[in-house]
Amino acid sequence: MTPTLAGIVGFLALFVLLAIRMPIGLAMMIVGASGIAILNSTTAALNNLGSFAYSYSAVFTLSVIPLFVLMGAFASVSGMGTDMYRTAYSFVGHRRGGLAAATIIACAGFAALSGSSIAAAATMGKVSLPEMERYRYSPRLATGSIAAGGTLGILIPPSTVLIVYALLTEQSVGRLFLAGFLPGLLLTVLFVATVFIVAVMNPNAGPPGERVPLSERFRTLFGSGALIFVVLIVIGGIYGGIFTVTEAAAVGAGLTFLHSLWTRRMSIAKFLDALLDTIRTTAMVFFILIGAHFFAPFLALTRIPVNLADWISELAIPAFAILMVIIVVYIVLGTFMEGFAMMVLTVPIVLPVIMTLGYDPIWFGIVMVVVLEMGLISPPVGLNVFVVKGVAPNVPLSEVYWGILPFWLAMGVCVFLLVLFPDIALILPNTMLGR
Amino acid sequence: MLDAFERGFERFLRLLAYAGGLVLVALAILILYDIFMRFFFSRPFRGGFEMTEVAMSVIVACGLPFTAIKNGHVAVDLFAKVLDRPAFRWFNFSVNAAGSVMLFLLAWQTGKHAISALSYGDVTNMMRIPLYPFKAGVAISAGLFGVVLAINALKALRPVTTRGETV
Repeated sequence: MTPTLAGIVGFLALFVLLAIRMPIGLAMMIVGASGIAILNSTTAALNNLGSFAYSYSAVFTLSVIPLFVLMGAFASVSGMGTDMYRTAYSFVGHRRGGLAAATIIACAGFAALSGSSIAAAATMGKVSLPEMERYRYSPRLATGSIAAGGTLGILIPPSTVLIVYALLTEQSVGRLFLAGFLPGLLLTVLFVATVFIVAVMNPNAGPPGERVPLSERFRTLFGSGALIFVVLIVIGGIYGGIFTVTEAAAVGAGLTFLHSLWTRRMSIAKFLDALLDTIRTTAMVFFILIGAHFFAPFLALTRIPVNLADWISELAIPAFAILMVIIVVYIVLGTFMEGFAMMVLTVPIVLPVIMTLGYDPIWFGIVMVVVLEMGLISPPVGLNVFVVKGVAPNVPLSEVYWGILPFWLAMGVCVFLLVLFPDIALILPNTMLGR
Repeated sequence: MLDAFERGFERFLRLLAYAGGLVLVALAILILYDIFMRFFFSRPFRGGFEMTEVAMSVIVACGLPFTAIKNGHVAVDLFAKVLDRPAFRWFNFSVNAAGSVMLFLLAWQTGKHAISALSYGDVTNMMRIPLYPFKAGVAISAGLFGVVLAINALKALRPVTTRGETV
């Protein structure tokens, strides 16, 4: 079997295994190990089986994943999300659609503590949905804003997806985090604008809430002080050169834990739940990563990524057109594949192409995350949608999807702007950390 | 019988996951201690890097089987409606059984590496922490994960009512 043919067969086998519900990590492991056995030798494949599971979990840089997830879990318990929502509410709640806008802003704030979209959507959903129901918001706008706002979790640093991307592409985590900051802000602004547009077009969708006096507004801002403080310490610590990313994550977890003790919201049961959630998320991510480490050497043996990059560089098609094709393929893949899995599977193939075309890998990582976010909220398999559905069981799934549509379009606008002005992502890392 | 075993097994795996959580907390405390010592006493803790590495392997190993029994590993559910039909019982059995075999193979090979790490006396560079217990931990974890999929395989074979509920 020629290497290329083996690669194509491998891909087909992988898709079949995925379609019949084999967990993605396992599917990549089976196909990768079999491929290595065929193209290299059985001894090599067995040797990889013996060493990879340990050597790709005992990785120092990846310790940031459980630590940041733990920080998010503690922040959830400590009520920082609720405080942030109160603050945002007091500033914009009295406007049309203001409660939905407050949800988005609070999600963005919470995203600065949590690297997971699902955690952000679940936490903010529980807080903001009852409020929006109280003011008779349309279920579409209410659920749409939570599902969309939650996706900010993986764009605004810290972000588990960006950490994994950094690992797969050998880029710096600090640089990627910094690159995610402005696009995260841009997407937040686009979402808030979307809320106001929806509320203006359909006045019944988002009736105004109560106006809060100015003094009260600043009191609630003070209530969010803890969140702002932790974010400043964690993110500031990384860029001020005081902590490494790992240390910042541990400090963040420690501070959110102390805050949860301080607010008396922590109990032993909640502490254990937070641990269990963290361990589950960690195991899920690592199993995909371990599987990916079997698949990547197999792909390298097939030489498909290199050949594809060579072939594309010889095509007389402008780089921009190829980029557009890649983005469209990602959007389509994202509708039925989990974001992490999609990234781990495609990056080894797509990144050489992107580099050959002369695009910046950091910038591409950010574009990819926004496109993954689109997948998180698009039918038929949008994880965030299911989270929101869990919080709002009485809203039909179709209503949630209709509510999401305008936000999905806003994300499309964000991708478009990022492609048009790559500096939105690159200006911070390039000016603060040098080229 | 299978259900009783599964419940007991799940309880055991949950305890294992809690243990992993406590290791993570210990790791966070270790890192904070390292920062504290560096700032106030200018004495960084040199073994932190290696301890983080081995702790990570323990955390992942403790979490993998529990995540599996809770169906927490990412899979594509696009064709769930078709695959949950009674006609696909043997098919679902085969998928889980194949996964189980793969994980037992992984456990076996990792176990072999653990034994050779023991016989060669593999240790970390600075603190000379022996590596074989951690490799053995990963091997055991893979084995437990394999057991979870074996349970799933057997469950797939059970007769199903027309409404898709297991009897």
